[in-house]
This record gives sequence, C-alpha cells and structure tokens, in this order.
Amino acid sequence: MNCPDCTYEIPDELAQCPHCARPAHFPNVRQAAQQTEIDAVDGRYQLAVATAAKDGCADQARAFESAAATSRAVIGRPVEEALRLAKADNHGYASFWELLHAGVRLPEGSRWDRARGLADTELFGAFRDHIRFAALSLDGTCLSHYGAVSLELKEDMIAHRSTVFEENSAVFFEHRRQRGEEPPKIAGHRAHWNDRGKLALAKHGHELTPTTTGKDFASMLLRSGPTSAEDVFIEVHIYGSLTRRSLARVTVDSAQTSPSIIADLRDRLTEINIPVEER
Amino acid sequence: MDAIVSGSANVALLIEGSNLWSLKRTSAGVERIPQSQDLSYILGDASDLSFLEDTNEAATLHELDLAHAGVKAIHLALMLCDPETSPEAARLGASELEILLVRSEVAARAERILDAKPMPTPLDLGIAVARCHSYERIEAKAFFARLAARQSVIGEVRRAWDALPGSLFAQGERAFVDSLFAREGVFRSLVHAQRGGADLKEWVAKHVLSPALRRYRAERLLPAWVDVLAALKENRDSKPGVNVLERILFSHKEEVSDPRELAERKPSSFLAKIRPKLLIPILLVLLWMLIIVSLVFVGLELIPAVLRKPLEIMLIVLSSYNIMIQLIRRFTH
Repeated sequence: MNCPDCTYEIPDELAQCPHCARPAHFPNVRQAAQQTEIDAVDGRYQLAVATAAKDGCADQARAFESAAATSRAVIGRPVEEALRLAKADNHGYASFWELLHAGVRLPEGSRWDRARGLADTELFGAFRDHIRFAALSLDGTCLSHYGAVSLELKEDMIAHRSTVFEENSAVFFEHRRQRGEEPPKIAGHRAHWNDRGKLALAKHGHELTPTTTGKDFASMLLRSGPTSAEDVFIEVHIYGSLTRRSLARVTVDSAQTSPSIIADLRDRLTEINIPVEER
Repeated sequence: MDAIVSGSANVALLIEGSNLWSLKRTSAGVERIPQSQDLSYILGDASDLSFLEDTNEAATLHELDLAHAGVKAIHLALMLCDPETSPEAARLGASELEILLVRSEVAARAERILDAKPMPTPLDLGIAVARCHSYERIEAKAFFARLAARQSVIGEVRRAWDALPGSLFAQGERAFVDSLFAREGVFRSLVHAQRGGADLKEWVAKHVLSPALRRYRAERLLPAWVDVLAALKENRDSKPGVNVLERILFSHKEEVSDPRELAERKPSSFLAKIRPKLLIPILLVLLWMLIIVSLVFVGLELIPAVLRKPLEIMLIVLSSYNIMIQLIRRFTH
C-alpha cells in the first residue's frame, strides 16, 4: 500500500511509513484487507453455505456463523504470567520482571540450530515480534496446553488490530509443506476480525449436520487435542501490546493454581472491574 | 541431548538432533510430548530461558522444578512487599513462601533476581518482615530480613553496573547482559562477595570461567565492573576532590567511542571539560562578541572618523568568521 500522506510505498511488514514516519494501518490487517484475500475467503464461505444447504443444515450454518461472529479472543497462560500481567501498571514489579525476561538470545553453535530455526522466525522476526496469539472461543475457555489461566480480551481493545487465521499457523505451514505446497497458500485462510464468522463457517461447515445444536458450537470452534499440535482452534493475530486493561474476564483453573495467587489476582483485577472466575 | 527451560512458562524443551519435545509437570505426572511447532506457542511470552547442554530428562526436570519454584517465590516475595496486597492474599502468600523457602536452592533462585536491584518503591521489605512475623513464618521472615540487610550493597553493585560506559556494550547488549547476570546469579554473587569483603580480583577470576557468561562473551565485562565498584567505594572513603571513579572510567577510555557519554560521566573541573577542539569555536564566539560591541560603538559614533573606515573593513572580514563558526560547530557536535 502507499502512504496516504506522502504517497510513497509502505512495505507490507511496516506499521509506519518509512519515508514520512506517519503511522500506517496494522500490517496484519492490511494483509487481510487485500482484495485477493477477501475474495478467497468469500469463495470458501460461499461453498460452505451451498454445501450446508445441500446437506439440509442451512439453519445450523447460519446459527454457527452468527455464534462465531460473536466469539472472543482468549489467551491461555501460566498463572505466574497472568499475575505479572495483572500487575503490569506497577513499576515496582516491572523492574524485576524486566530482569527476569529481558531479551532472548540462543547460544552460538550448531547444536541449537533446530531451536534457532524456530525461534528466529517465530520469536525474533521483525513483524512477528509485534504479534500476540490468541484463539477464538465461545465460552471463554482456552486450550489446556497453554496454562491454567484463560485471559479473555475486550473486543473493543483488539478488533481494529486483529486478524484471524485458519488454525495454529505453525501447524498449518508445516502440514502444507509436508504436502509439497511451497510456499503454502495463505489466501482464503486469513480474514479480518470482523469476518471471523465467515472464516469459521468456511472451516467448520463440513462438520455441521441436521442434528447439530448451539451447544455443539463451542467445542467445534475450539477443543484441546492430545497434543498441542492437534488442538483445534482459529488463531487470532493481535498486533501490538496487551495489558491488564485489555482484559474482559479471567478464568483460573483452581486445581492448578495456588490460593494466594488467585486471591491476589482477584484483588488486582476486580479493582479495575475485570471479573476473575474459578473453574 | 540439549534443553531449554523456562521457569515462568513452567515448561522445558528437549532437543535431540532434529527432534523436539516439551516437558512439564502436570497433576497427572510428567508430560513429555513431541513438538513440531513454534516456540512462541510453547513458551508464550516467557523469555527467562536457560540453556542446558549435554543434559538428560531428569536433570532438565530438576532444573525446571527449581526455576519454576524460583519464579513462584519471586512472585510471592513481591506480593508480600506490596503495601496494596490484601491481608488475606498476604496471609496465604506467606504460608506458600514459607514452604518454598525450606529448599535453600529455591531461596537462592529468588535471590538471584531480588539481589540484582534495590527494592523499588512502593515495595517495602519492612512490610514483608512485619507480615511474616505476624503470621509466624520464620523462614520467610529471615529471608526478607537478610534481603533488607543487603539493600545498601545491592545498591552499590547496581550503581557500579549502571556506571559502566555504554561503549563497552554492543547495541541492545546492556539490557540482555543485565538480565543474563541476574538470572545466572552474578549480581547475587558479587553482592555477597562485596558484603563479605572478599577479594574481587579472585571473584572475577572465578566467574570469567562461567560457561553461561562465556557463551555470550559477557565475562569480558566483569573486570571493568569490579573496578568501578572498587572505585565507588574508594570515592566514598576518600577525601573530597580525589575522584577515583574518574580515573577508572578513563582507564577504559580506548573503549569509549562516544565522548559525550564520557563527559557526562566524568565529574571534573570546568577547564578539564574544555577539549582542544572546542577552543577554536570558543575563541571565535568571543571574537564575534567583540564585533557586535564594536558595531555598537561605530553606530554610536564613539570612534574617531579616521579609525572608522579601516574598522568597518575589518568588521566585514571578521563577520565572515560567523560562517566558519557554524561549520566548526557542525564538525564538533
């Protein structure tokens, strides 16, 4: 895209015009807004609608799409990470967490190449540094592999900077490459946040039957597999940072969490009107 | 087998050849799952990574348990130091911390981080001691009391670290090494050495061999750090006017690429701050001021007519120096 102010081209991965330094739209949102991407998602969606109608479950398809269009972004985290986030406004805590967390550099040497290959692209890539990952959820639960705490995000804090993706993107790319698709085709599998209902129906339409009810939708959209690679979910890519002010609701697995941390988490978050629930 | 461990994510990655597994403890036992996906999913935002080479599953699990318990202990310790923590959360937290601190290794892990910086406001170690006293948590109370006693030395060690010239570090390296030294317990070790009056040269000789530091060539910073620490102490003990820190910082002069940074760090007399290359601009500024004063005098017709013409010519010539001043300023700044 070209900068609306200086008119020169802004590379896809930048959130700021490199020529005049004016802010540009979020790069992930720009990618999903390309007409080829919109058309590709729409093509899959129309096919899913037609198939559902042919299979006698057009009502279920409409209901599922509507439900998915109201789904929330949820992040699973270990409780210590959630507590750190809950106290993010407190500089006293931050100064120690910076020490604990500042910087990651893999050691030199070929023995770390496997981890480096993953980390360099996933943890250190220039654009990926700004992306936070979440999953779409209808009931506020998250995938069990990622921690005892579900952080549900406020829609108005993320809708403008979020896109949704077919599945775990790492698994998606790996599976496509195993099938000889190089580079893997992304168009049709990525959509703007507001089109998450469409993408969900395009992905799950074939699972609907005339007996499917609203109760089945939550587990269709998100369910944990035996391993994290087998989890079923739609991945949310959120550009930029998140703080406790970005949270709508927090759910804690009390079986895995110490009582003092739950009590402290509740104290910190309820004071800023974020409910903390136990499950 | 190699491994990456994150205490805050409570997960380890085992790496053998091109195979990768995640390892963590769950309520059902130890979970070891083959992984083929990205680290950001497995580790979340956690970057408190430690790297183990030629290890095995048992040793990795031990390190994971210790690292996770250390992170929990830090959380609980900070919670107890926070005046805003509710009495109920503090009571529960003191009880949990007491159990964790029974293992001296866990206390040492928490101290690695807590010894790297003085306790910042509004956190208060006195509050933590009082809370643990009232809940009769002996281990936790002693832990906080010891930490409180070390605060002044922690402050000295931190000041010495912060005083190291930026030119010793590559771009972005200072924060990384700061964090590395904290997690590896280098701050803690130096705090104990300084407090115990140990020979800091011996301390350096011991720590420069640390594989965790050598992996990133961070051991090269240790001699300068202890030099500055010793200089700070000597400065504190010396007569006014004798600036040992200045001397130490200048001994690393060849490593300082940015003279402005050194000038900021170097408390010295006004004349010492004037560098030769600044003398010319200063003289030119003085000359320019002379021109302005002369112009005023000419304007006021206070100079005899016979001298006025040559003076005017001289003023025009000297005015051209103004351009030179601008050019020289560009070069010097």
